[in-house]
Amino acid sequence: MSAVVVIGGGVDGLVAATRLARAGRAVVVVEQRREVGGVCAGGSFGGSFRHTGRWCDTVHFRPALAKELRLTECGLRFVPPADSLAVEADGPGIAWTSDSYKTERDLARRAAGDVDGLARLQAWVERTRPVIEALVDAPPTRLEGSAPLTPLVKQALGMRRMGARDMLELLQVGPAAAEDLLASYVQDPLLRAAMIAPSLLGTRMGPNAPHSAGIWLLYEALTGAYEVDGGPAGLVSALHVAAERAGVRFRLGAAARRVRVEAGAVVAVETSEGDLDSRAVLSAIGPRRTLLDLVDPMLLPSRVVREARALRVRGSWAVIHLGLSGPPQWRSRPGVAFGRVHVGASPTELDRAMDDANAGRLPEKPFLDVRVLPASCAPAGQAALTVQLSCVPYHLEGGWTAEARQRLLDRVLATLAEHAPHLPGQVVASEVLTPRDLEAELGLEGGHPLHGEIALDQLWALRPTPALAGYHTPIKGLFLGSSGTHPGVGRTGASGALAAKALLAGA
Amino acid sequence: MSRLGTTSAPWDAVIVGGGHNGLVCAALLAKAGKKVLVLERRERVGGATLTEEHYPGFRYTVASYVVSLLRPWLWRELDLARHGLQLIPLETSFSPYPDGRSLCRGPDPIATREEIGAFSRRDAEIYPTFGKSMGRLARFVKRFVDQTAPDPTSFRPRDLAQLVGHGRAFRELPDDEEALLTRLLTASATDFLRETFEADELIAPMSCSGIIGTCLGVSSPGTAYVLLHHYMGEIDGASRAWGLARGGNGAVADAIASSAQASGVTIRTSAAVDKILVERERAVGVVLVDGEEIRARTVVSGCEPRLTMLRMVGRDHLPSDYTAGLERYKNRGSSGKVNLSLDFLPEFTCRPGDGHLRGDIAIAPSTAYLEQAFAEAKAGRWSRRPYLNVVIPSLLDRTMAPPGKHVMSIFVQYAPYHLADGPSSWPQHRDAFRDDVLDTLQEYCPRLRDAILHAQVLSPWDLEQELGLTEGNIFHGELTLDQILFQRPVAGWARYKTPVRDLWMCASGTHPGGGVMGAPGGLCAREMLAAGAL
Repeated sequence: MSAVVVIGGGVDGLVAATRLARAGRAVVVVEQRREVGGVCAGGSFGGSFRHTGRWCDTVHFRPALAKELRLTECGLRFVPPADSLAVEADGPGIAWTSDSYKTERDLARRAAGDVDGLARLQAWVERTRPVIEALVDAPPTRLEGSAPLTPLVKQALGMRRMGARDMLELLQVGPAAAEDLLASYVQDPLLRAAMIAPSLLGTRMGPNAPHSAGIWLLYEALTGAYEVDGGPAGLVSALHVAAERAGVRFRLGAAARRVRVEAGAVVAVETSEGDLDSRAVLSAIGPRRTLLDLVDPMLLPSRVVREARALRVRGSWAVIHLGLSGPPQWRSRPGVAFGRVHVGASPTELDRAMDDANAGRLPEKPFLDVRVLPASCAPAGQAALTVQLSCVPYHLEGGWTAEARQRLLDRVLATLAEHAPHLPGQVVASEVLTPRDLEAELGLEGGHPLHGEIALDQLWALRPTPALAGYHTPIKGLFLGSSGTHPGVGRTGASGALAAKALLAGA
Repeated sequence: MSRLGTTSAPWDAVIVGGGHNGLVCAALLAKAGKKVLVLERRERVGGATLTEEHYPGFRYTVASYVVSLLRPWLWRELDLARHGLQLIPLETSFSPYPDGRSLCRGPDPIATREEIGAFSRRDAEIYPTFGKSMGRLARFVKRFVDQTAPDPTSFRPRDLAQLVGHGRAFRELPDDEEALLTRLLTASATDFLRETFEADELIAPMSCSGIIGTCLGVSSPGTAYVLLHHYMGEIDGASRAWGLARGGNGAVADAIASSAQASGVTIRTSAAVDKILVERERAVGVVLVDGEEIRARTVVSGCEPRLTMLRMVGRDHLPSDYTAGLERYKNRGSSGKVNLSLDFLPEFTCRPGDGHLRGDIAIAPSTAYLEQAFAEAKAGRWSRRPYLNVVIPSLLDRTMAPPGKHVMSIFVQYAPYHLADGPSSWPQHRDAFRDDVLDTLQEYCPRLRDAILHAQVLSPWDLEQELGLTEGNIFHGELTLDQILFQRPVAGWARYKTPVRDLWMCASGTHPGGGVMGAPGGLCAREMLAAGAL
């Protein structure tokens, strides 16, 4: 039996490869870059600084997968999330530290009812968690064709077990606006902004857009209590070890050029470094690129091609790595170190920033998710930061010229200066990755970190498209398994795992 | 209308509000032998289905201006044709563009294909197929419009059977239409249309039907669904046709009122209800503003849910989660109306003549234009260059204006209820608002202002004050995924019942929602009779 070729060595590709190898299949991972990890791979910048991945979150990785793939034996370590801070223009901001009593006191001082509101909201999220986890850990029910709806009915019954009241609330919240949902529990706009902004990173919607509450809830319910030590690079390293131990072989620096098809079935993958015969291919790169670039569209039903073309993959996400001569000093909490800092005043401003991005403008007031990287990422005494920006347009008015990239950096530094006045003067190295750069460097179409916009019409049975949901393609032996497939919300690893399962069942 | 009946009558049902849904509900209850009283605050019935003469000889279809979704079963049961209701189909959809081009979509497929072909050959080819698919989906969705909302939490056999029935019907759709439907329920209007079409000149006017009555933009998720309503129009069974009522939309209310009275309904106008009387957690009647008390076995509100429950009933009588649900209910008015009496028909520079004006005219030149219009609304201003939907009823119905003269109905979006300086500032902005609307239209019809004899301006504030539309929302609550079916108006209370026993709701704030459908009123009456409520 020929080897299964996994195209793309990102998190989902590694998960899929390992699962396949453990099921006894010979597996080759083809990765166009010289290293695995894709958007989660660590790297160096500015000569002496390191980053731990372009995409920063590891809290969504499914714990059950970590267990199944025995990642802790491969060096994975879970740690509690770092202390974080939400800054504001003229005020103390909100700090989340291991001293939760202090955080509560701060919250209560800002808005009397918020501690209670937050607790009620969290309790409700807890109650929805089993329903959402069940949804995420199972392949989507195909709504089309004659496949039985039994799984759907089961899921519906699972929902009913929540009780009528919670179920109705869940059904109502799904299509609502995040701001409407959160505002009914929490008064403080700064708190709401910090809560909502990260969940909209893969969308083009603001917090007042319908359906944003559902997206927020998905992320919230999938957020684990721990993150990976060493960030995304730590996760990638463990996955890489696990894959190698399972016998997965790697072809690094080999870009997949074409999936060769004969009589409707996969026969080989052509790469820049030669061809690999194969009867089974799992593509863990974007579904749109897989179908439109790697496969001859003439071999696909016209509807599949039409839907793939219509798939929205434009990102609104950018990354800036900063090397500082010393640790950042936050004006409202001098001398205190934080691992994560949210910059963004209110949901209204977030909405405006997204409007700017959708109209092709740089946001006046960018929303920043700043990570202060471990000390090992910088020379002694210095500091490395990764800043994730939401609301950055892929199609910028006037194009992403060198001047525009500088303008983005300047705006980010000016924004940071409001909360850490010395920071711009500390910058000794920087790397700016616009959506275009992320596309060029990582092969992310549209610069989208999740290979397809997160929106209700591109989730679950509609992810990547209605005709393609469920990891199969019309080509025998070709499977899709990146986060462009269900579930796709965050780096869960579930897409790769479910795709591997589909391949094993079907091939 | 004269005052009939007496206050001492032992009513089976008293209906608060004589809008078209209240009248439909009254008529059906009376036909079942119940003694029914309708109380209307204004001097005439109709609510937002209203024709009025504000300038001698010129009749405005004041608020709602087209009829499309009036349920066929109500036509039959209420015998509306015999009571004088006549519908005139709208023939065309016309959109002019600032560069002097224009697009007219009409009943002739070959002409329409040529028109669209001028913008995109590909779109012209696909357009008829798309229309057919949408028509089939509209037929699927009609199942929901003509039935009480499903209850997904219920384990009762009747409810489970209903859910299974809907599931089966879904599976019977061809694959590509299932896909289209799921997208339709979840996507934004522009994303949905861009999947099929490429010409922005076509996408922009088509996408507008997705935003009418909501405070959302054409690229806001969830707006695609309302597009379907456009394909649901049915007049005498002919699908995909919107029409005008001869004599304006007031004629709809008059016909239903006439049918209701023929069945024995008593209608009192100039009878404004102040409070709904609740005793021992039951509705037992109403109190009018002049203090008169009218008792009845059941009370049915044909008014907007928040007005009904929070103002007329009062929080004291309501469970807190119901109140919270109502407060969360989005009712943001986003549109206004300008009605004009015209001395002559002002022609469009880009296309003289009137053949293309015998339908609706959309000022929606591009999606960027619509986005800009929405951005202003979000900032608490009306759009300086709004989306306009213009109808000239007098071209199709000579009874609306003197010979050679015309009336023009202009639907304007966005006119947000919540202006930056508060909704009550609308009266002082009314003229500036009107001027922006006229300026917008005048760019295409230079002689518009010369033709104007009289203008009536209705801001969302006016719609609230005059017609009781809370926040000026024309649908009694936005038609978004979280506010339809079993969630309209409050999750778990979508079957016309309320937490107050013997108090029912029958207007657009209940399933299946707004528009001149009559479905909420009709389904409410059915539910009441089935429940043996009176």
